[in-house]
Amino acid sequence: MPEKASGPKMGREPLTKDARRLLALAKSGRAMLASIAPSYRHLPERGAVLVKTLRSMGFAAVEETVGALPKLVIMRLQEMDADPRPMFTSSCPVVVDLVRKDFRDLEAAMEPWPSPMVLHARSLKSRYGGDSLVVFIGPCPAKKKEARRFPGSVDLVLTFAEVWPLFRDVRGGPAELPVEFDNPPPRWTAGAVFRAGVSGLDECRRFLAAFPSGVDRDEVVELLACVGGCLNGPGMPNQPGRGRLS
Amino acid sequence: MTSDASVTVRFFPPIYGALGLSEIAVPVPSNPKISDVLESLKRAYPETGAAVQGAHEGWLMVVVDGRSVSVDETVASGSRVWLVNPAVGG
Repeated sequence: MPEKASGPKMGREPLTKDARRLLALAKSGRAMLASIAPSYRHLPERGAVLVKTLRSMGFAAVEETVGALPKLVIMRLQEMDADPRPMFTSSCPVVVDLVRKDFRDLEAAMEPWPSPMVLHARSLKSRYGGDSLVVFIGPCPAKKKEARRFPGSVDLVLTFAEVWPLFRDVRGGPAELPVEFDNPPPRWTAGAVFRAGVSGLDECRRFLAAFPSGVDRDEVVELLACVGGCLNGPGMPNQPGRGRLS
Repeated sequence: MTSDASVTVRFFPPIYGALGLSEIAVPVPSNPKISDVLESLKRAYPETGAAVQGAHEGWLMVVVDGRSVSVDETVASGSRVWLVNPAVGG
């Protein structure tokens, strides 16, 4: 007999510990807020299933993480004005760890602010109340460790691969649920992603070893550990060794 | 141009830096809108046409005085206008 459930049904893959935690938190009675990484655009139906399913689980808001970008960009410009120098940025926790471990003398050249994930989580909590729970969903398992570094921001990090088994059987969901994101970010944020200045861990190491060679004083280079950027992160559902999206 | 007013335009990242167009003084009419600034920029430097079109269509962030603005907003003479196309992971 198939399990009778009012919420999302399970797919074939076993649920991870964090996916089970998501289901438990959804029943906690606290306001659930989702921050969705921009790679969602490469999920089937451009993430519409994801948005609709989160709403069916009772999420009070489903927003794009890039909603944090306007504030972040303005902080970058102000920093450049105050102290023009070659800089690099990274929303990638693997690169941040690499710099802290092997290139400590370059920490001052790295953007000092937390990643868009953390900034967006703080923004969500400031707007919906500190008692709300923020769930970040994206292509990168390393974000789990990053979230622990910034307590009080993101409460749970899940990869797209982890949540997909929850969503497969609820395609459609209640017809009246909107599939659009809440509080949509400006159009230009869509063009801001996937343009990694340097991608791949080896390339990042080479860049850092040579830094600031080849970087103009008012240039800011984004470093990402996965070759081709986050779209190829290990938490995307179609990565080798994982089930394909249907 | 019927006015001596001008604003400064900067691109971030400096996509036209190799052409010597890092910080560009653009003559503008009195009480210009950002869209006027963009058109003046394109007239003076046709090579910036693609970026100007991108800004008109919302594909570039426009920042003035530490604030994100729309192309319909008025800008004061002497201001600096940033046209920004940032890069982040995803």
